[in-house]
Amino acid sequence: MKWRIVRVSSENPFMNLAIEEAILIAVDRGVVPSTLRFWVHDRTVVIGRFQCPVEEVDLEKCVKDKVYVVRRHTGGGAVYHDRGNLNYALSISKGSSRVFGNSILGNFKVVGECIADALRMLGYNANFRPINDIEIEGRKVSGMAASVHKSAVFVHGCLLVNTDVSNLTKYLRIPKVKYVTKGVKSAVKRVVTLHELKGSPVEMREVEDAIAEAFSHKLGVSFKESDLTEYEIKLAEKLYMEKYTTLEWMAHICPECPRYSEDIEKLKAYLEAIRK
Amino acid sequence: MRTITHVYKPKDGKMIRVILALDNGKISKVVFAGDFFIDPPEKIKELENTLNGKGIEEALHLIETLLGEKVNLIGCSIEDFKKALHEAYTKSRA
Repeated sequence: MKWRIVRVSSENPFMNLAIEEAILIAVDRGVVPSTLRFWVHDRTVVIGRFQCPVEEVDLEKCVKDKVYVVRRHTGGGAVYHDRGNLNYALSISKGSSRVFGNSILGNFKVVGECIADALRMLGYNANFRPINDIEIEGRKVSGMAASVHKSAVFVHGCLLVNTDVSNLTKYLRIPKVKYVTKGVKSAVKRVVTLHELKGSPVEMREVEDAIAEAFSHKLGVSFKESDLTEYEIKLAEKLYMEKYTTLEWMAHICPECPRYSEDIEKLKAYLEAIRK
Repeated sequence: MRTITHVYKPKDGKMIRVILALDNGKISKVVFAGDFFIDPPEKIKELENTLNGKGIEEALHLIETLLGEKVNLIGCSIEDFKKALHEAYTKSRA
């Protein structure tokens, strides 16, 4: 079966998230085949669907250093991206694969094992660790998030290839409870990059090719390089304008919150400042 | 009205951050934020809205009822949501 590979990155992180969802919707509606997308963007915090940006992110520091904060449509935790971080996103038509289904845990396992296989091909001793992590020698190198739809499933993740991980604690407010339960003393020590393990920068394209090969082998599919369709571009532009760049989406958990008026002012101030 | 934030994390599970305000011992407003996964995602807002104005015992019962209805929770359980709210409530009353 032929799937697509799309290597499209926007300079704008809000648009990158809009493109992810546009591809997913197009696959869900049967407009395009199952798709693997690779993309990167610069200096951005991406928070999970149910996270509170005021609690999770140092918004003032992000404004000062021009770091974007974007909310994705899937659950999971906040991550810091820079150009050394490789994002992978799979939008899979339920009819195109028997191994993906309505179990988010099951979908994490399939994708997590493929990513670990790819990293092993490149010489790293990687393993999938449930719920949604890929680790090398006990340290996290990739985390995933996922959603399930009517006719499609979606799994995406970010892989620390050459990322400057010292920025993790600079912009993210990571509660101690997140890493002490994993037996490490700091959030930075919990993670590792391929660069750090290899001792030199790693070619992004080499990692992308290994991931595509691992998916081909495990899922019995072949990939065709492709651009976004007009349908996806228009949908992404609509999602960009009407969802990802709006205060409503950034603050979508706030209306029920006891701190509503206080937090909404902070988010308004952040969005106004980052748009300048 | 005092607002408190309480972080709860089950072993090997995902974090639940409860932001809670009480009014005369009843829930005035509550948010369940965190890095958990839930399908359908809309269920969280429904739960939060349902708990407004409820006492703790009724709220814990409602969590069980609402999250037990065709909901797929990943990284935490119904019991974790109940514990997170109960701990936040206790902290708020202290």
